[in-house]
This record gives sequence, C-alpha cells and structure tokens, in this order.
Amino acid sequence: MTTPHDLRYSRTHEWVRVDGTRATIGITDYAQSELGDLVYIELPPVGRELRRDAPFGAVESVKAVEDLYAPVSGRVVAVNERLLEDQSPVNADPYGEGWMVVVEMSDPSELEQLLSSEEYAEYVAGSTH
Amino acid sequence: MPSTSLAAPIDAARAFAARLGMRPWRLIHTDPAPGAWNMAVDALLLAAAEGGADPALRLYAWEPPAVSLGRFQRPDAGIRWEEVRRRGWGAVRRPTGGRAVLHQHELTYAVILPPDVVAGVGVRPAYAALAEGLRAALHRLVGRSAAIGCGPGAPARSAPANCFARATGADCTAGDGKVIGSAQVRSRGALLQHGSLLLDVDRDAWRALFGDEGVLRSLRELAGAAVPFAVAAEALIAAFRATWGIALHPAPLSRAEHAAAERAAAHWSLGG
Repeated sequence: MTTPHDLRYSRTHEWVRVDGTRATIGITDYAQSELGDLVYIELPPVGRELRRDAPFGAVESVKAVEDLYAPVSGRVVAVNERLLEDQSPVNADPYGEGWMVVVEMSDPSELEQLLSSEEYAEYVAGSTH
Repeated sequence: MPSTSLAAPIDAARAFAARLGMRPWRLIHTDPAPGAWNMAVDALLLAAAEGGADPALRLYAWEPPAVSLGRFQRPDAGIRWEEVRRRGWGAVRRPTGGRAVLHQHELTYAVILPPDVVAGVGVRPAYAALAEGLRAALHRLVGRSAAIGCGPGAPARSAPANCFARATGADCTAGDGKVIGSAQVRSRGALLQHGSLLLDVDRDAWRALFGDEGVLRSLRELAGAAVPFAVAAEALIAAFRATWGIALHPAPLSRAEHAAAERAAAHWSLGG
C-alpha cells in the first residue's frame, strides 16, 4: 500500500492533492486494492457543489457499490471523464491517472481535518483485520 | 500499479467472520411484497446500520415477480421490457451492484451489518466469509456431496444484462449452474449484501426477458424435489448460526419501519 507524502487523506479513503485553492481528489491505493477491479464509476458533473463528508459519487466492483465521500467542500471544476468509460486507471494508478475530480475549495481550512500520509497509514493499519 | 489478485485474503475473511458473532442479530421475515417496497426496506435497514443498529438478516420474497437492475446498470441493455409489462411484473433498481435479476421463485436474503462489524473489510473477503454461510445452507438442503462452489471469480467490465448469465466472486454455483447470486453496497462503513437463492426456475420466463436463460440452477433441480420457502429459510438460518455462532432474534418490522418503506418505495421503482 502506498501513501504519497504530498497528499492529504480522509478516513473514507479519498486522497487530496492541493494546488492553491484547488483540490484534486481520488481514492487511495488501499481503497482500490480492497475494492478490486472497478467495473463502474459515477462522478458528479462540473459545477456541482460538494460538501465535505457527503457522497459525491460511487464506484462498483464485484457487484459491490461504495459511495465516494468529499474530503473537502467546493465546486467541481474538472472531472476525469475517461474513467466513465475505462475504470482501470483507478486500480492501476490511483494517485495519477486515476484522479476523479478537481474542486475549487470553498473552505481550505477543512484540509486541516484530513490525515497526513503517516497518519493515514496508521489509520489503515489500525482499522483493518 | 498492477491489478490485485482475485483471491480473497484469507486472514481478512476469517477476521470478518469472527466479528459476525460479536453482536446479536435481528431476524426479519417480511411477507411477499412488490419489489420497490422490498428494496426500500433493505435500504432503510442499511441506513439504520450506518447509525449502529444491530446486524440483521432479512428473508423475503417478491409478489408480483419483478426485475431488478443493479445500481449502475443501464435499462436499455438487453432486457425485453415489453415482456415485463405484458406479464405485469415489477421493475426496480437495487441499491447494490451487479446485473439484472428476475425475482420470481426465490428466497431472497439480506445481510445488513453495522460499521463496527464490517470494520473496513474488503469486498472480496466479505463475499468469501458470507459465502461460507451460504455454502453451508446449500449443503443442508442438497447434501454435503453436492459440488457447491461459492466465489471467488472474475468481475467483468463487460457483462451480459442477466446476472445469472455468468458466475462471479459474489455467487454460489452447483455444478455448471448458478444457484445463488448476490450483490453488495457499502455506505458509511455499513454493509448490505442481498442475494437470490433460486427455489425454482421458469426458464421460459428468463429466456423471454433476457433472450437467454444463462446458467441457472434451481434448488428443486439440485434437491430432486421442490423445496418450500420455509424449509430453505430454516436451512439458511441454521447454517448462519452454525457457521458464525450468531444469535438471531426474531424482530419484525415496526409500524414506523413499514410506513417509512412505503414512503420510500417509489424511489426504487423503474416504473415498469
């Protein structure tokens, strides 16, 4: 399981890459591994307002659906529409080509509530059995 | 990053199975009901589990018969809706993934688990652990010599419309046919897995709906005789108790739960 140090993480296994006031969001290597090969993904349209901790989309693998939860609030400014046709980048490159949405953050202070790489790794190690 | 193996991590499955008995379970029987109401009940039980409600096992049937689509399945993909309308069947969407199912002669089970029991278990270990209970139930019904297989298998990015056209890691097979098809949804750490145990199969109906009956295998075919719903239900309950050491307490839906399901049912209906 990899947890890049330049990212922030949520307890629902989303990652955030910050660039100024914009946040790129995807799911972690741990999440894609536990899900297995994705077969469907549902993402919000550009312009949708996301609210921290509220569902913003969903993924499916092996007939199991799981919601995606917004790690920060903001307006969606970009969507990785390639994933709608081909979900494999989420499994193959979760922190790169598997990015899901970019949001213009409405409250960057929410980043402080996310986990660092080390904290997320500890969280995963402690919560898995 | 390479794709992960399809084999379920054994340790994770065993640990999850051990947690299944940590709390008493609620046992819910509901009368045969329209599909939209059935889906509303499962969704409401999942929502309750998110809030920490006890694990639950619900057993139910569908009246009238209905077709259910998976959460993401497109309605226009290979299903003969004119047959659904002609026969007066229902049409609903499930909260879980997977492909279409005709719910006709079946025992439907739903396992609903709160976050402290799920504890982040992966999809494949969860299916593997729950499959042990399903396999045990099938062995009770058709004998231990029967060649029952439950998971793992390959998910498909390109799959036919009919859930029973092929078996995946979420399913139970007997010989060359699929006898239980299951699907999951996770929500805020809680889990709903529900599935169809085929008591009997009207193969003409499946062909009329999907153009092909797939790889169905019914309990009647496996057992060599009709298996009543009540007998299958008792076998499932006994198998779950024995496999995981769980305590199951009958607790019917309350009036408030019934009413909430009635209000929510329309959300799950596809309008037929």
